Amino acid sequence: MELEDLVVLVMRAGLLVSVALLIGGVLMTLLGPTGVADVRSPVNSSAYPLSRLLHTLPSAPSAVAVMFMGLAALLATPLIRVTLAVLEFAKEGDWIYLGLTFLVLLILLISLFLPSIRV
Amino acid sequence: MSPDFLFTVLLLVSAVAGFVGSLTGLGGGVVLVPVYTLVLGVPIEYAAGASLVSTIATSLGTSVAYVRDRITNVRIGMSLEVATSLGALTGSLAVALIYSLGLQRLVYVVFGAVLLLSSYTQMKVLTTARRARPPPDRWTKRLRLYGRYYDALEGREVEYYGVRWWLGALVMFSAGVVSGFLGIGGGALKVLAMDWAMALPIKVSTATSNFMIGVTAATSSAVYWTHGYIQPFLASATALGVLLGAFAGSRILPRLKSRSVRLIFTAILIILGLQMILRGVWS
Repeated sequence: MELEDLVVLVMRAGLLVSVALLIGGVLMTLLGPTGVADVRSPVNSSAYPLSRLLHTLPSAPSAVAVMFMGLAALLATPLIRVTLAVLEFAKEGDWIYLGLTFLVLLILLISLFLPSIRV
Repeated sequence: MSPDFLFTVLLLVSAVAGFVGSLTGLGGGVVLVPVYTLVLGVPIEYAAGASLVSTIATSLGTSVAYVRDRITNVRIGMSLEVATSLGALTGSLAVALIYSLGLQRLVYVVFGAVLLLSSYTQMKVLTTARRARPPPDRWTKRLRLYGRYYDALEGREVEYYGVRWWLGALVMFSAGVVSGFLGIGGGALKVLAMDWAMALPIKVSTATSNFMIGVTAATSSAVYWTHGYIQPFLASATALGVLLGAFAGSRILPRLKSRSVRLIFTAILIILGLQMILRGVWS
């Protein structure tokens, strides 16, 4: 399989999963108790760190958690795409592009694990 | 506002933003953030967060076809993603610092200025003619910036190459900074990097820019996430709406007279830009 076909596959799957979760989460919000459906709602991503999302969902599949899962799936898709490119360039022995894509992966991971700025 | 009504409004606004954004190539964010903040009273952090997340969805949804048809140059795109993601990290951290200092009005002013600049480039697009392409340089050979695609309009295979990768990467870095700072895709600057700096064909540039936006926006979204700028309901409704609008736009695009669309859009950009600046100065 060429890199392009792999990329297409990952993007399609990622979009499908996230759209399904987003629609599900929005419907759950509209049908259930709706404190979160407000433009100034204090419920935001700072209370749902990406690292803990997978632990919180199965125990309490709330509307908010499902929406955050959908958004996390959106974020994860480019990450998976870049990881696959790193592996592909390593297999091809294309060192320049291996280095470039590895740097992208590194920057993405740094952005994920950086603590927040508090002044 | 009742939740159902709010959802309908968000979906409609973001669908229109996504539609117009895809027709003009500027993306949904440039319309979305001003309308959310100025009209709907959304805090600018939440508006930027929702817009940023929605650009990932649009990038995934609309670039699949171009990658499949090999109009996107995945290799060139990936070589430049180093610059955009580094820029995105810089821009998003800078804006996080500004928000934490309570300087939201500064973001309004910068946003307004970027809108006015974009309106200027939109006008330029109307008037630029074809330029001569420089010969391959050492970047062309070292990074193997070659490619070919089938041009359906001309009915033939087009071969091309890219030059001045360093200049392209520099413009890409600033595209990343703008994207991370304002929560928009930054597609216009990315196209500038490839079309103007690297002398790539415009079709390849736009398709590749679209493809790269996913990685750029994912980097700054992660920073936004940690800082709590992503409000789940707002972001979910916006992502779905922009995606819908962008799909509709890409269906209609080939059948539209782009000149009139651009003129109307330029006017909208100028009005929104001025409003954002005024809001930043007087709030």
